[in-house]
Amino acid sequence: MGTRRILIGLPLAVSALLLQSVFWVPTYEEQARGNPARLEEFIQASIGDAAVLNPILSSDAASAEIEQLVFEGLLDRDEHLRLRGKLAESWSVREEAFFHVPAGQGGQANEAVRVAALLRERRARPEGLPPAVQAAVANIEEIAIEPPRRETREITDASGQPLRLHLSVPPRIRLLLARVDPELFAHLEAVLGEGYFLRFRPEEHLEAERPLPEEEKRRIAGEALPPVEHNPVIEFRLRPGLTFHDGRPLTAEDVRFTWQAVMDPRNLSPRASDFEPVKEVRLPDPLTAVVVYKRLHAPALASWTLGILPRHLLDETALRAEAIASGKDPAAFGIRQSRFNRRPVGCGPFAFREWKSDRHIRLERFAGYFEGPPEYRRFSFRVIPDLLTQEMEFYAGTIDAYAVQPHQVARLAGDPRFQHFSGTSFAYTYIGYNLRRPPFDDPRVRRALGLAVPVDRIIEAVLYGQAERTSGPFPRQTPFYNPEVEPLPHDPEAARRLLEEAGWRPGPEGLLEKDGRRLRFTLITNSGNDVRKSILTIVQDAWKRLGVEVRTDLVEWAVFIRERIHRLDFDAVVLGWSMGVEPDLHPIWHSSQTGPHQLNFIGYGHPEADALITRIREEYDPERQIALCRKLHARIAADQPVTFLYAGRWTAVLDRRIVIRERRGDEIRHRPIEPTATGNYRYHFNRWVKLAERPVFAVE
Amino acid sequence: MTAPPTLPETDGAARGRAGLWRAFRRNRPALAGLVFFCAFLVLAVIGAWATAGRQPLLDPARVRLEERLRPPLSRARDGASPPLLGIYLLGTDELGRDLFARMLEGAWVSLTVGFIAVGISVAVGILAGGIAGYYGRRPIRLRHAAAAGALAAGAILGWTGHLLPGLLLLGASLLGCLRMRRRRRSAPIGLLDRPLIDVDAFVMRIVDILLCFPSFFLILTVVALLPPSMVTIMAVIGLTSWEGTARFVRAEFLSLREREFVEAARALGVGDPGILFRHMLPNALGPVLVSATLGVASAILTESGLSFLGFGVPPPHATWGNILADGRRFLFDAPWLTLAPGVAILLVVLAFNLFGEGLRDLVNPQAREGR
Amino acid sequence: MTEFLIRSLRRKLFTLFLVTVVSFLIIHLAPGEPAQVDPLNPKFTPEMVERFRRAFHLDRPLPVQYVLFYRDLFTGRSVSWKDNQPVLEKIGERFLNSLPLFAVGTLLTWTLAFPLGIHAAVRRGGFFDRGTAFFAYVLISLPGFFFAYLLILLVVNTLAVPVLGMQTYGFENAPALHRLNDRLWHLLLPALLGSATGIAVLSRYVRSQMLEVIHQDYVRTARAKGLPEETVLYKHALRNALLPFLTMFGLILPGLVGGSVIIESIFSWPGLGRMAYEAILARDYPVILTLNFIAAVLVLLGTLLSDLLYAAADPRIRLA
Repeated sequence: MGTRRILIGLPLAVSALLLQSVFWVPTYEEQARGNPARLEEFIQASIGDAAVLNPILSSDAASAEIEQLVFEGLLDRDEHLRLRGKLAESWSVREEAFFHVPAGQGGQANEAVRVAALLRERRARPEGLPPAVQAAVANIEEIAIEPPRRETREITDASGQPLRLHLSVPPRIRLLLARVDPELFAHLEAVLGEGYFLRFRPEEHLEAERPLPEEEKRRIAGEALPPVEHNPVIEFRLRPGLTFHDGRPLTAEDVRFTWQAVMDPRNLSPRASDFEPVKEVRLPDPLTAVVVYKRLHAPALASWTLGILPRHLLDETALRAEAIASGKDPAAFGIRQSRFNRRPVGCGPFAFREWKSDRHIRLERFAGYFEGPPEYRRFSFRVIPDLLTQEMEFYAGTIDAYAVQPHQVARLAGDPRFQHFSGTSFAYTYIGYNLRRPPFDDPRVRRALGLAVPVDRIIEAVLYGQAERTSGPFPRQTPFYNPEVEPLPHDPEAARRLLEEAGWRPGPEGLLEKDGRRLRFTLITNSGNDVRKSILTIVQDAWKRLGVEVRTDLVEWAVFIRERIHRLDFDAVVLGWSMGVEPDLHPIWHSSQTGPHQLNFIGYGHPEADALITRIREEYDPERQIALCRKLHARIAADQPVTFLYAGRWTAVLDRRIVIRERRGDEIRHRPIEPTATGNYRYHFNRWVKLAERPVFAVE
Repeated sequence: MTAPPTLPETDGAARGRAGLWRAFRRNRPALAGLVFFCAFLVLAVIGAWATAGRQPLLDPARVRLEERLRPPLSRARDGASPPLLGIYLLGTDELGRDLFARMLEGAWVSLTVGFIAVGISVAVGILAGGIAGYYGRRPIRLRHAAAAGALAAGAILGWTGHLLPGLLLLGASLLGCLRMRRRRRSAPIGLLDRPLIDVDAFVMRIVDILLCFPSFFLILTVVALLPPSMVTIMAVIGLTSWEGTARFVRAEFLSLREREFVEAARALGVGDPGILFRHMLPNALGPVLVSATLGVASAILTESGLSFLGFGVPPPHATWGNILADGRRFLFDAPWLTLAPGVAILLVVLAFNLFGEGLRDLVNPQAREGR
Repeated sequence: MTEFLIRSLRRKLFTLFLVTVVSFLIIHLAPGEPAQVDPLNPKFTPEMVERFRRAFHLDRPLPVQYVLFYRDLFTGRSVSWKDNQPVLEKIGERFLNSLPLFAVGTLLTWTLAFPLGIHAAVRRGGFFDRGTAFFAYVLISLPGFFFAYLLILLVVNTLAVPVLGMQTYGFENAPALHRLNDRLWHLLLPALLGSATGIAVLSRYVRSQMLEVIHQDYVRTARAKGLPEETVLYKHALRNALLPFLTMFGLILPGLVGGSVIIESIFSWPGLGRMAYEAILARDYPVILTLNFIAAVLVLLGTLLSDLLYAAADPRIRLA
């Protein structure tokens, strides 16, 4: 009679079969058991999956990490965060500047000839001019006159109606500058006379098909025929012999295509704002791309760190073929719909192999990489949504790197199996106040609240020391950060005095009051972030001791953004900003960005800050840009529109068996991994390799 | 569709109380469950008392940064705001809050979640099951549906901010309902009186729909979509777990309806509510109680599962579920943050389960007969 | 019989329709944006968010959205909001991953529970009965994730072997035998965890059902005939106690979708349960609704199946 035996025997047999398998599985010390290829693979853990593997479309950190390995930009950043050529062998920045001459004696044609001659003469004999003007004039390489022409343009007017314009464009002076000069026209006024450029009247050269109000006409004319124009020009010279992973050559055509793809409205590229100022990309030869900008735009150069897309896979013909093959409407089929985003082709050190959603992304080394193929044969990006799970996988030897949590640092750093690195991140955490609402419209209250926050204790207790104080909006390790601005000290006494100065005095029960109103507000943050949750608790406690009545609330992310931040409906928030290397603060701090759905949701605005932000955007000279940024930093810190808390420190832990391999001819040497001056330990990633045994290096 | 096997009909009232108690006492695990359950109840009440107020005896929210991640039974170093007796009985968490105080507070919250959720589920279950079982064959007519529809539409309009049209519609539909009642005996208008579906089928259809959703998935979805709050969680757990109660209350009522004492009451002119609540409900209460006890256990488990996935009762309330969920990040550095709530959940749920099973044996005399 | 089938199917289809309406309404209870829009990213402008909304029909009235959505679902055109992948394709892939876990878990549950329950029923009140009873209650009362972490911690700390996922990562090129065993090893813990509660519940149920039949006349007769105890218990008694389990067996199907959310999340097992959780987190409505729909279909199929089994097994039941 078998029923019973089957019912007992079958599950036991299955369990036994499952149990014996433990002897076949690799352990941490023997990661290569049954699988020698393990040593040639680097496995990175991540909390979230990548969204879309296309540098012009993605906006998430996970995608960026993969794209960095698969794609390559014209430029990238070196050990000191300076730009250096990557696909571009070299580059130069020049400027074409234009201005219209006003109607002088004898018509504009004569005036243009006169002005051109005058400028040429002053360039030849600059004596007597102020030194700055001398430099500006010496910077002019070429002076030319553009002949007048007629032009018809279709625009939409203020009410959205189409409008046809007839322009009779007068002659224009074209200046070719050796380097970008934002103050060129201000300096030229010293030569041509005060207010010279304002004397040109664009509305006199414009005829609309229907009569327009004077005001409107002047505005439209000013846009159609700007009196002066800066056109910065960047010329990139590409390395010869570059190829994509599929073997097709990479040329300047692909550079131009990448720009066009970003600007194609069908693609909804989040990078569009970086490339919108590009006027055109000229291709004098297959290895040269000349990018002309419509106006001064200092972040321009850095935006070319964007990965270059292969034109042959994504241009109109390729997309059309793909749309038809997959039975979709070719008219609505853009790059965003393409399969390319799931299996990208770039020209970076690793070529894409496989993507299993929410599981992993696999890359294989690219033998034809222009700097030589990387040492690791494979790179794998594993999605492990749970932090504790990541930690356990690390102990089991099935991931090589993961996001080490602050409280784990001390324990892991002491483990002889691991080497560890740390550095300051580009993100900072802050308490933002809604400056439209009292009492936050009073800078003394903001400063007082900031003084009462025990930031050092937050860093010590919540982050286990893994953070650094920060005093302003720039990342600490960039030169834009102003080291002379001190973070607010923790001084509850001073806070109390400041509040009293601002009129807030302790009432009954020790709670602060002013004109019979209590000092009370709600401090919110998004749920699901443990560090922010802890900060909320600590800050609430600290402010309560001052006599401030603080309520706290955790709001689910989508609701938090939609109902609170976008609608500007909050008192105070704990949030963070993740910054890039570029010092452009326009979206976050400019007073024009304070509306609903915009990023300056705290409502900060200061004329001096606005002016500085705009100037920084237009300043091409690194030294002067740094000086402006430091001034802006000081300005914002003086206003205390937010309480800057800290910039987190990241820590990375790696097995000691991972080292840098150096090849000199036939000789192979290994040396331990060392971080760069800015803390980037992955800088030499392409030369990393994992050894079977832990190496012993001589103490240096 | 078939009904699942229902528990045999209960006749608990026929047995003497003393007999019941004796029978229960013989079931040692159940007794242990009851004792533990009572102890837990006392603890939760003490906890609620000791951790509430402005200056509580044990402050679960007190942050002591210098004392973070201290192991159980360690002495307080900070003299400023020492815990009770100067000892952290269960250690402290990552903010230096006293785990013992938080567990006490959490006991009360977990208990509240469990009881209220089950209360909702039992109330809805009895109502739905009772209506289905008692009114079973009566039809729902088109006019009922129309009235209900108008009422719901009015309520929704009012809710979404169109106050005036909402109130108007609400008033109109209420008036309609009243008139309908009055005109019941007069000649019905044909179309409006078309029967749509009978009451029993209607209720069971709702149960069918509810059963089509995997319960944890449904709870998770709803809780994740709604703004997190304790009320939401209790309501969602309650409103998604009543179908079992409804089913056996219905079965019970179906058989009770035909019994002599109900017939007698009806003959004596007792109204529907009277029969339902005075005569029939007490007879069906046994199995309801059993499933309620087991329901509390599963509600506490569900809440901790939700907390684990990040959708549990939001702060500032501490529950065992969210203490555990928060504490697991420190599994290596502070295992007590995981162990204490985990073991506590285990013990309490176990107590409820043992007690509930003991009750089931009591109200299910067949199970005892075989002895 | 056919008449019954048609009627039952019609009823179930109507229920299914109501389920789609209800779940669609539930989804629209909440505020939320398509996952691709990151509102705090400086590169995202409101116009862009608006364009996304249009691309996903979010600007149409609710009934239209409903029709459009289910049209897309049935024609296989609905795509995930998270990665623009076809939903059905994604679900198909995850279903295959969930299947071995589900199969082993079900196998262990539906075999082991019977001898355990029967033995406990036979030794009613004895040491074995009490021991298994207590153990079963402990298993039922143990929060699944707590148990899982204890197990993982134990295994990782003592053996330092990988336990998460479906296989050791990067093991594809290992010899076949290694690979097979590796997969088995990864199946072990989640399958055990998944079946532990099932065994506990089911064995209790088997026990109580056995208690009901064990003293029936036919069991006594079988014993009197001198049949071996095993035959009496497993053939005569069990067959008659089996009927209610048919209903339960029909209802294990939907466990494929909703039953393993927590276990699959902990073990990063790329199955349907974890997919459901991720979809909820990301508010990936097409995936949530499709999973919901599939779960409802499975439930209805399960009930249909158990009705049919019931009818086949018990001639007393007329399909009416």
